[in-house]
Amino acid sequence: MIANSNSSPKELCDLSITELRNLLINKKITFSDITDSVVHRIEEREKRINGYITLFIDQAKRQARELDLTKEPLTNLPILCGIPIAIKDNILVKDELTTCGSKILANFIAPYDATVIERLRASGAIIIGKTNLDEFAMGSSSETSYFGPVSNPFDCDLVSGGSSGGSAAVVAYGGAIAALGSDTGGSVRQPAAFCGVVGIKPTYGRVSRYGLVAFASSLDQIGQIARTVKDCAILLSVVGGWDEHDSTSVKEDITGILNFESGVSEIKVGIPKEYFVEGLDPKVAQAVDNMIKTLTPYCASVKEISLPHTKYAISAYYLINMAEVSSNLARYDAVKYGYRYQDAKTLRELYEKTRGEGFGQEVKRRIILGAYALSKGYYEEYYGTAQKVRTLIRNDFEEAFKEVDILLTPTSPTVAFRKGEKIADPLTMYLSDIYTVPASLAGLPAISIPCKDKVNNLPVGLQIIGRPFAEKTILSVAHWLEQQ
Amino acid sequence: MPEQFESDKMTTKLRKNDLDRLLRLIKIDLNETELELFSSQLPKIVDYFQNLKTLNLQNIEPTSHIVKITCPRRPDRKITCADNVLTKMPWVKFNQFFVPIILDALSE
Repeated sequence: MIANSNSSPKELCDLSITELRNLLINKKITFSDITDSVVHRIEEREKRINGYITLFIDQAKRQARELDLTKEPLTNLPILCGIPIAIKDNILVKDELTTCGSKILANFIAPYDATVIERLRASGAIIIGKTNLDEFAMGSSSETSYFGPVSNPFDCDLVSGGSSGGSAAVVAYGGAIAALGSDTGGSVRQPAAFCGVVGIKPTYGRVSRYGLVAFASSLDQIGQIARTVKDCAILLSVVGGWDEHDSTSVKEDITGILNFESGVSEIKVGIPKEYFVEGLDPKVAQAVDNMIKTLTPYCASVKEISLPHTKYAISAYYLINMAEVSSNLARYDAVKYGYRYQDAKTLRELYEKTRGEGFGQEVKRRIILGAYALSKGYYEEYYGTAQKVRTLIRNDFEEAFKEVDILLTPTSPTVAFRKGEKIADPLTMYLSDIYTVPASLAGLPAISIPCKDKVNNLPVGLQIIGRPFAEKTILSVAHWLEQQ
Repeated sequence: MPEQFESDKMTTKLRKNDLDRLLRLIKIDLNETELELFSSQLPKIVDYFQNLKTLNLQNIEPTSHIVKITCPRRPDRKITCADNVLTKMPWVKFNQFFVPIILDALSE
């Protein structure tokens, strides 16, 4: 147990990667101490939160014990050595279950490691478990999982956010030091906001998607969740960078993203007026405004800007998302892998029953609507139109970034809502993504950090959006705000 | 041959007939409760998407992907199927994939 600056005791599982590494190097703790602390916290909290689908406790403890025996000077060990990291259960970890929170993959064992997992292993990380999620990452509340909903660590009657709700929740309660999630339209940022942690969606192409189960391929990106901005940056520095296995991976330099020394004095800040309109909880608006006021005296400038096509983002995003879903999920046909309906008499019955029983309602809804949007006579009207609107939204950002360096917005219009509140009305659930989907459509990097003020004792997320591949800038500003 | 659906383009309603055809196309069996639920939910969602029709999109190029993608090429080579691949399959016999009948005239 460690005393923090407020003199309240902190367990090792509550510390940051940097703090733990310093304690290890100074021989104050062992690798097993860290793993034991995380496992103990999981045993205390996991039953109520349901953040994990699979846990690797025995392997994690064994790996930590082996590290304790190492003769290598600890300063020579890689940056994540002995750090327990949780992985969203739509990312492949070789020889372990990868369920995507779906019945159709409930027994699927991954045949290989995703590139991000290979890189985590090479950096010495301990994979502590696979986290719960909305089925196939389709949702904003982590309520659509076949394995039951994820509870919010601040109040178990509330949702954790989604779809990476399990990753955000376990990091928030100390069941992992950091986690990987995936963000298609806000699935890292929104649960991070609801659970009071930091979540970054890197620029599309920054992190390899090889081994991430495809959902909406032109939007999916693996993101990082941690309790501090620096921990998020460390995780991104490890898993990011070009990968020959992913044709959408981009050769952009990732070195230097851990250097936060540049501060904020030269940063020009934009506040998009379309994000502060009806539908935004006034208390959330106030919490975000207070963060903007904190930054204002220290940055180069703050100005209101316009992203005029924001109100079309939900329609464009969901049409593209659903079209790609209907295509990507056609592969679940009961033949090659996954759940298979056993009593089929014909091939059509095999497909229909397997997919009917194997997929949950939200997945079926999106496959149906995606097929509709791609069908003859409607392709141009829906999918083609959505792609053109995507261009307009991307142009909006390009114009804005001619004047400013970053954009500050709320991450979500509300704080965490009650379980069951929106699940029966999918359109209402979709609309809650309004502040996160535009950056996804434009492929931009964006980070959510907790505001200093809470609303009804619940965390509020501030979103910082940057230019393509300007992760260093948004991380620097986020880090500066975190230190205030 | 792709099927055309009945919905009127300008006053979109995803009708019951559309839903039936879509379900055949995507090969998903819905139970009665789901059919009733989706019949009421899906048209509302499609109606919401109509807000895109208010935009003038003349001369706007579509964005299908944010990054420029070039198709990676590699030489053809023969690789042996790893043993563990078979362990992922729902049904393996004689060290081979075992699948249901796929050429079944009665099923189509």
